[in-house]
Amino acid sequence: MTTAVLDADRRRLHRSWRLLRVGVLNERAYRIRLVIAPVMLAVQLYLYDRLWTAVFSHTKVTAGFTLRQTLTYSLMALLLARVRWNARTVNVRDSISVSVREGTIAYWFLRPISPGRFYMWRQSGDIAYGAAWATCGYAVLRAGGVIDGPHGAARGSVFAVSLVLGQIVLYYLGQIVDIAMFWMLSNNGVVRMYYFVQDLLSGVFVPLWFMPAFLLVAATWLPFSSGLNVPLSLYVGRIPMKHAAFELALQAFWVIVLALFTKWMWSRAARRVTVQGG
Amino acid sequence: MSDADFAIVTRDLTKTFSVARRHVGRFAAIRSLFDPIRVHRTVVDKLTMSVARGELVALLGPNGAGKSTSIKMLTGILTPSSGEVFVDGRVPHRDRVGNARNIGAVFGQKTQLWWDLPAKQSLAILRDIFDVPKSVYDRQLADFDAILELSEFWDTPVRNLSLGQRVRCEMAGAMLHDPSIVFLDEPTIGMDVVVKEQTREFLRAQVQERGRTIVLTTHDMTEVARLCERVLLINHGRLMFDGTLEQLKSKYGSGALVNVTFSEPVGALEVPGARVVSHDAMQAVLAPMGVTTPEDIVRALISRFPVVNLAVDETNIEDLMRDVYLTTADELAHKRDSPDSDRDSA
Repeated sequence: MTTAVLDADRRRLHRSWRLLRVGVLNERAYRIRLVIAPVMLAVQLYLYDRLWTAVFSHTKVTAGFTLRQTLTYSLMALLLARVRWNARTVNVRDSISVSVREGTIAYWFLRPISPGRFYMWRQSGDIAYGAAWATCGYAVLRAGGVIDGPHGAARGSVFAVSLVLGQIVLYYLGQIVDIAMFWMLSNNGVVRMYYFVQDLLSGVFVPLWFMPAFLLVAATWLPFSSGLNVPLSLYVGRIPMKHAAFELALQAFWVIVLALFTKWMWSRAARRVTVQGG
Repeated sequence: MSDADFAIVTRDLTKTFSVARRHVGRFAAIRSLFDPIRVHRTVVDKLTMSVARGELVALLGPNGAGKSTSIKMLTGILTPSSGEVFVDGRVPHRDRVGNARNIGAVFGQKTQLWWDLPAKQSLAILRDIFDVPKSVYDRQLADFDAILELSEFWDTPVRNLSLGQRVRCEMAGAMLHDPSIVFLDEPTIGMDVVVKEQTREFLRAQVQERGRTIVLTTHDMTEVARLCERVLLINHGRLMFDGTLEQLKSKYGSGALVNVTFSEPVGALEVPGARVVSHDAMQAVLAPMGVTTPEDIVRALISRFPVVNLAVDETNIEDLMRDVYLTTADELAHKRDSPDSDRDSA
């Protein structure tokens, strides 16, 4: 490879790194957030732990789950929801919703990097930041013996693959809601409703297995289940390993479908950019 | 000259937006929600113009004239409804990435900097996005700092900068990658005179020393007089004038206004060779047209009306532009002689 090619690659890497860091630098600008984030997480985890312990005080197994499995699933679901916490905040100034509302979306189309790619790097930074908090939380819970580890290396590996695929599914779903802003021009209500549905049907509030049959079926046929329920069910052993290949294939299917759909949406959005405010 | 000799060429460039209108009458709100009336509004109407390389051109017009929409088509943000547009030989909306490398833009009221980060960190992010080598970046930043004095505040988060400081950083951000063409949409709006002058000096240097082409939209006529040799005037989306500021003055005003006070109310006020700029019963302001001089108007007024006071004032450029906007709007209204030419069509 020539020096010029190496230089160009290095500069591209530098660009990606710089965009990845924006989310963290934004957080550092408001240091109180660095204190609030772990406190909020700790309170949520503690309350969920108390809640499920109370629910299981008179029974050993519910919806095929033991208390230990439920705690592991639920507390990890809370941690994983934290992964995309910043990425889904509607008031971040360089989010699509604020950029469209304030007209600064114009600059997204004045850079030698496609808006879709810019979005990906910014989101990836936010997700990595959230993942760091989630990892810390996981380590603390494991060290404290509050939750179990995966049963066996094979299950752990399958969980890791499923977790990554699930996060990609959630990333694309969030992206679709964000790109819809180009048509809606104000989507705060839709965003809030969407994230409620996503959290409900992916298993953040309650493990999907506790849902009434019709909701469980609906969640299974929609991509939400692939986001958290599948990896967590694999982790706690609620989905047998013999079904793992099918579940991973289904997740991969959603990744491909959603990736194509968002690509199509970006191409349509680029044709109907409006810059509000003159 | 061929198209390749120009930085910017447009031919019959048109942008029409579809906007929703409210129903009136019973259940108007509900009907408007589910079945709004769609109306097509032509914001830029068959704009044909060109800008040579290294020119600093002012794109003028009243609010809503289509200046910003034109700039957004030239930068590739908006896709034209019809017509042709070439910026440095590229069709901007078809080759957004290629175009982006070659142009810079500042939209005065909107920031491309990262709100919570120090301005210099924002510039560094833009450097990486535009793939600017470090040596070039350092040199550019030093050059910009020499005129715009950015180093005094570039370690401050953007949210804490004053408007003038922020816009100076925006200018640096827009030219960091050394673009040959720069679009500035009301960049000095809200700035104090000192910062405005600093910004003008910067723009002059960019044209004279770097050979950049700059298209500037502004309502600050002092800025136009000090910076731009050529003026493109748009009104209601149409190009109404293309020439120097001096040519604009000679076409739309003599540079003088006749202020007259009457001793009793005067109804219709018609003076040959004069345009009535304003008129209430007891006072009027008239502007000479064509070869008519202010003295001709004074003579005509004295001979026809009960005049008690007269004064001839040299028009300043703001007054001239007000007259130009009103006159060009009248010219357009006269051109539209059939209902088919209505710009809003359902």
